[in-house]
Amino acid sequence: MAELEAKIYEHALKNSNGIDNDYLNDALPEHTLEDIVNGVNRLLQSGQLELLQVGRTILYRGVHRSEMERMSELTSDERLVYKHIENSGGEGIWVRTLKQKTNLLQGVITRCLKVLEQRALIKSVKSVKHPTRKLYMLINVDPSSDVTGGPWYTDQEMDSDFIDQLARQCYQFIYAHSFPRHNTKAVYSANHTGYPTSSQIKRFIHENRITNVDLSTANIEELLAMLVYDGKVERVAPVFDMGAGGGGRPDAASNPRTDWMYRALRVNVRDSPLTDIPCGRCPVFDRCSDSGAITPAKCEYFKKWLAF
Amino acid sequence: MYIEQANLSKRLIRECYGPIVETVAGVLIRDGRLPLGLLIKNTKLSAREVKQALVVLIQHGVVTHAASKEGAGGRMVTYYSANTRVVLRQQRLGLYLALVEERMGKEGVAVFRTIMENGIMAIGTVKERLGSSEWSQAAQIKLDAATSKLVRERFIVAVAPGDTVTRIDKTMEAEAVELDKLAVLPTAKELLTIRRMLNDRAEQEYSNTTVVGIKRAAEEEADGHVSKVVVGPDGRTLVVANGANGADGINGSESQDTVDQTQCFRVYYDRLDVFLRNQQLVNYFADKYNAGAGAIVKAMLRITESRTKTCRDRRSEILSVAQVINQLPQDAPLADAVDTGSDMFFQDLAASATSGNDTAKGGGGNGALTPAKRTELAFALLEVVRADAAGIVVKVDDRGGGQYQLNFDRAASALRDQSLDTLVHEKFGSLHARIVRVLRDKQKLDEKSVATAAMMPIAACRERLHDLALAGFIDSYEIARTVDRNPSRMFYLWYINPQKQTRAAMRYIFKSMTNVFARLDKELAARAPLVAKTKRADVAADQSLLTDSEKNELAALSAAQTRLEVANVRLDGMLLAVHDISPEHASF
Repeated sequence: MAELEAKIYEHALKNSNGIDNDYLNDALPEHTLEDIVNGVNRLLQSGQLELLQVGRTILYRGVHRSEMERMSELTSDERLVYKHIENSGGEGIWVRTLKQKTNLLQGVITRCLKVLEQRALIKSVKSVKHPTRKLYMLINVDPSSDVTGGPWYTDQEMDSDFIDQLARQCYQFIYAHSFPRHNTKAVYSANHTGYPTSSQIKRFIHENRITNVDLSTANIEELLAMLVYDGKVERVAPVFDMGAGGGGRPDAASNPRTDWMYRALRVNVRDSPLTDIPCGRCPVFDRCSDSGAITPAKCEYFKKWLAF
Repeated sequence: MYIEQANLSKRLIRECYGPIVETVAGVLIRDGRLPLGLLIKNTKLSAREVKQALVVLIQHGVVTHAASKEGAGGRMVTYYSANTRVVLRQQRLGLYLALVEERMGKEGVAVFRTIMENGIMAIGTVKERLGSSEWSQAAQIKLDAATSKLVRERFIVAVAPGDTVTRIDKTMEAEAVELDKLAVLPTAKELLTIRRMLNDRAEQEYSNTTVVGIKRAAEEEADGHVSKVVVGPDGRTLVVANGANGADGINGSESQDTVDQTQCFRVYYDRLDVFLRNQQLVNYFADKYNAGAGAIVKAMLRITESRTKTCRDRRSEILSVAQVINQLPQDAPLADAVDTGSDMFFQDLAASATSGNDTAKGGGGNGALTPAKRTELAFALLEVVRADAAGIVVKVDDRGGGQYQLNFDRAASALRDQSLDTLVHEKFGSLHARIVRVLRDKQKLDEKSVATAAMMPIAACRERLHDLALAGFIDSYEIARTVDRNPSRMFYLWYINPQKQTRAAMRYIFKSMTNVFARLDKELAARAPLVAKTKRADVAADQSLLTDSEKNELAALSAAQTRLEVANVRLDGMLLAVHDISPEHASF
């Protein structure tokens, strides 16, 4: 029996996603199903196997010895809390969610968390999305970008300087490729495909070592979207491959262009007529009227503006 | 009606017509529709003064009247109501005059100005005022040609007696006539049908292209040719134009039209706003791309001008590429405007468009550009403006190289958004402007999503959202999570309400314009004795009678006046972009 249990344990450890009865039946044809099930039950009792449910399928996963030693020191409540924290992975789990899932009392959960933290099994992190919440995750797990905020956050704070500098570099790169070099007053024709895409901009940042932070294409696109919202850059629809089947229709089979291109806009210094006069920036504009203490006739801002 | 708008209207009326007319108009603006008796009572003026003021206001289209039956006896009472839209146009008169002079020449602007100053006037009376009977025949012919051009281009329109009746009363009267035809009281559906029918009738009347007040006056000779005396190319001598060959440089149709001398005309401000809007559109493309793109759009707008009545028109007529290229002036800056990069696409298009046309009269213009090259560049620029994200220039067909149309709805939105974004940027900062653009793109968002999209800390984003909401540029939408609508358990979504945004901007504009006028009055009042001194006959004849400090004061006054008046003109330009050119708000 010990030999059967060792074999079952070995198979379970090899398949980290879990194994089911059918797999064991195929892997151990010399043993009957009843023996296999008895062996599994013994391993479950000793803690060497744990049960998983994926949909309607029951799977068994092997528990490593180190983990077994760790878990053996924990009470059942602590083990339950630990399991839920482990399942949350890099996202972490909130105390309230833990309470809902485990149905344990608040005091019990608090005690369990304290014990687990003391044993250096879990850690608490703050989420940038919910600054007041404490999330718990395993000590060796890296928090996901949703929790840390990704490359734009440093110490739970948004790094606006870093974002601005990077955006400026991206804008300069896009500007250099948006207008013909020989004549910056001209524009490229509507068929031009040489505007930079997000992947090209990412490559530019990486090759020029503009930043040490690892940026994904999605991060670059967030930055470019910010430039679009600043009115400095506009997105240009990708030009379909003209050679694909005639008629210029997109063909998924032949290298479709799905990257949006980005084109810099000419930034003309434009002032608003409203803010050109003192009224546009006046702090007491709402209290100004024909009579009273604040009137256009007595306005000091107008006096300075006319004398300028 | 905003109080700021009312104050500004009163100020403009005082400047144009004086304090008595201002009082009468002010009461109508404040109190709405009033009969004569109440008007006299509220203004505390004499009946004669009120009637004279009303005549002036009706003459200039500021006030309209409508009679309605009242009481058991069915007596007719006339109500008067003010239209501030006409008043606010006074700010633009300088621009209108410059526009008319540019297109119609000195004669045209003289006629236009006379009608403008008098509200409604017959052409015969205009000529009397200008003293044209003492002019030379050549000058008189030029005047007639300019007048007929003004009428044909709808810069001035014929006035019918019913034009001074309040529009809504006319609509109600027409509805009453239709309802009288029914034997029984109408159902809701019937009423809706009648109103739709009246609306369609009004639209048809608006779309009518007949020009009232102008007729052709052709004299046929024995050989069937039409000959007439027209002004020669030098502008001074008279030549006889034979219908077979026409007169050099003179359009045959212009010389055939005769304006009815007894017909009264008024200035058609809504038509003139079309030209101002077109100029703003040209500037939009010239700023965004370059002067070449601006020239292309200008050519397109020039072609559509004759068919575009007012800013209410949402789409232009369809234009072919050949029309646009022919309309381009010879000195259009196309040479350095676009880099086609030896694009075969445009070369082929240009070749097909200019095949057999290499000796066209456009050859050799615009520096060293050949007609084929010029056509190629024009094609390329047309495609550039068509590909613009605003979607103002739309390609409707590929026939004959391409057929294009201008979408004035989108043009008005683009100009309005640009104006408002610039205002938010200058007034609040670039980060506020970013938030506005995020909301315009994404519609309704909560503050977390706005902070993520705008890449700013959530606390700063919240503060900026509230600044914008306080100023009226954005609005919030509440979604309750609980039945009791507990405020602490609600979703608050921020969004841009274009109408509310426009109204917020308009309040700022009206109040600022009123402040500028008030300051101008103060500057003039402070130097009133000096100004009175300069008007004295002896001082007017000899400026050296003024001391140095007085001359400095006069220079300062002139500089202040210029600065303030320019500020007002710019503010009015912003009002045009934000509100007046929008098809929903443009009047007939």
